[in-house]
Amino acid sequence: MENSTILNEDQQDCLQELINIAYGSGTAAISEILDAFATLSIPRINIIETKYLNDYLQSQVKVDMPQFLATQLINGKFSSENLFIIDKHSAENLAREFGLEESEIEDINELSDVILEITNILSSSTISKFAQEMDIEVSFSPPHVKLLNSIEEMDSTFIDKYHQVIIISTILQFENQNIRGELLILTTDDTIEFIKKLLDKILDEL
Amino acid sequence: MGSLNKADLICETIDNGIILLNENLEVLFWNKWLETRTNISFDQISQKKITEVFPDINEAKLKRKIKATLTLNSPTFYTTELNESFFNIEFKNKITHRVFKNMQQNVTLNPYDIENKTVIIYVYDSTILKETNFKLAHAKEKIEKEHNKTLAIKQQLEDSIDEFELLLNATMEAIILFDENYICTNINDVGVELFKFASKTEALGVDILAFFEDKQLNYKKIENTFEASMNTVCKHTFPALIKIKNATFNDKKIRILTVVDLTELKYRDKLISEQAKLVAMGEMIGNIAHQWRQPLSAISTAASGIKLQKEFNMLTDELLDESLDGIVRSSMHLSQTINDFRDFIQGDKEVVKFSLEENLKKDLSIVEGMLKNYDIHVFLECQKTIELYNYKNELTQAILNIIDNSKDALLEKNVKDKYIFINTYELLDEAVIEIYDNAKGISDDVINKIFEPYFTTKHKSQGTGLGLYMTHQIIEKSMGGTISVSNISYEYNNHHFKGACFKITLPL
Repeated sequence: MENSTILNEDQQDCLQELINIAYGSGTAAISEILDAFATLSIPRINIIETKYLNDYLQSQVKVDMPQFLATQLINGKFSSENLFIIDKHSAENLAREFGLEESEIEDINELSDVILEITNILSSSTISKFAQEMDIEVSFSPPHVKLLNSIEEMDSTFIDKYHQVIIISTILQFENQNIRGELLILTTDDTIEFIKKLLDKILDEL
Repeated sequence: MGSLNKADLICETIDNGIILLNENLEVLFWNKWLETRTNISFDQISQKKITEVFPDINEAKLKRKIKATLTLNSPTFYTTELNESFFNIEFKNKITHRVFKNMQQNVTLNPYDIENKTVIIYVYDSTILKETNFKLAHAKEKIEKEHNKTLAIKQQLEDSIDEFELLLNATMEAIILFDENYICTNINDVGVELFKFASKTEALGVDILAFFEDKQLNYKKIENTFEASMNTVCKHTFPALIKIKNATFNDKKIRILTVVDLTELKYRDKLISEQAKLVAMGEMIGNIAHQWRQPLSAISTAASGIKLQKEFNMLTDELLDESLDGIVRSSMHLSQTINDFRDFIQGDKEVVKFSLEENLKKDLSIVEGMLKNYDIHVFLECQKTIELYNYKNELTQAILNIIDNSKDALLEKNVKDKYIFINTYELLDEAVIEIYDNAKGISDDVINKIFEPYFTTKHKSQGTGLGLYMTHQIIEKSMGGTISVSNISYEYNNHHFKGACFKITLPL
């Protein structure tokens, strides 16, 4: 995996700052909706070539447990795809946090619905704020969720069409709860160009 | 048209359900699409709590989604993937291709008025999509079943191929498969080893003629088993028994070449033949001893007679001539015996024309002394004109072996009057030689084995088990004839006899 020089140091710093602000507000929103204290770790930004994406995802995901993979498309000029990966055990704890009964937790559909909600909440809270900071319009498509036995089951053939992927990864944790999920925002060529211009504009205005 | 009217028009004509809800889940708006689908008019549901009208709606979940929508100022969703429907709308008009009883829905909640905490809910009918997915899932299941079946068949096929290869490699013969153009398509391990290929792949694609020494061989015409000289990759040749079988497989002609390496067998044959020859030589020396006793004693008698007559001055010229003539005759007889012996030992280089009667007489003269010694009477009855074009001395060896065998049988069975009869006659285009004795015949349990090598009923010191085997080889392999044995009963001189009869046929 190699960090690309596609963003210069200033651009990277600027992006990191914007993302930090956005994710900070996301944390607050989640805590308010779920009435629980959630934290998002400081987001890490990685730019990799698409051919390494599968390797990257595998390195990030615990392989010894089935994983839920939720995806959601973000439309508009910041067009990208959100991936939320959470292991089954964490998902069950998350469902308890959402107030589901034990019988409901055993229902894989109910569990999936919780993942979709949290994905939607994470996408909205983080990206909406980010879009607001960048002064752009975004909208969200309904999310989808899949239970994977391994990350290799993820169909990523479409990724080949792109060259590079910006990965913004963060870890969602709830205090006193054993919940850990990883949020990745994947964005590709056209959007990367757009972000670069936008970052330059922001940097110019400073 | 005012803006309100435009919004009304859109709400009333859009192909979606539109609901306006407050945070207490009370319905503030309910469009025409919903009225017609649910048969509940806006007037009926207005200001009512939606969960009261539709008790199957999960109130906690709906409230949570509304809270999220309002807090985030962003949409939240219900998706058909997970929730069959947001609320229960039964299809009463769907008759054809009906998969689901109720409408399948995708639902999006959007913030409407954050301050007043109202949300707008869009309901999309996704039944057709879900039906398609449902049918696809069914089709997938079916395909998977078929695929599994195919895999099972494939596995079976692979197993039978493995089994076939196993069988192919378990044989002692080299088996080589050719396509219709006589190009090698498969070869077993024995074949790879026998023809000294480095690997199986080296043999594939090789023309059938490369396996044979004779490059002119018309292999297409051959159907029976035959002997041929084969070629290895390193141009060594070896004798082999060959069979080429044509077969049809999947409408394609294939040829199966089976090769049995005869090197060992030929070597064994040669060894046996040499052993037999040594045995025959031993017997011949015995015969010569018998043969020479009489002429030697005649010479000795004549010589001592001459000496005695001379001492007594009785030796006349006539007596001397007569005695010397006798000595010369006897010496010539001795010399002839040596010639016969030499002919026999040297074997035949080529076929010659000869009289069967003369040959048999000479054979008998070789064993005359021995037969006399054992008091065995031989009766030869020949059709005079029979002439053969074959290996003369080999026939002698064969006949002598049979006579020797009869002699042993006669002595072993302690037969009082010992006879051997030899008859020859022509039958169709063959010469027949019958040799039979009165030694009471061969017992049934061994009569089928007597032509096998190393088979003997005699005591080890006497029999080698090679005599009759060699006789069989000479008659059938070398001379192109047949030999068989049977027990017969016959009358001779008003006496009833039983014995073994060897019947030889030879081409004329």
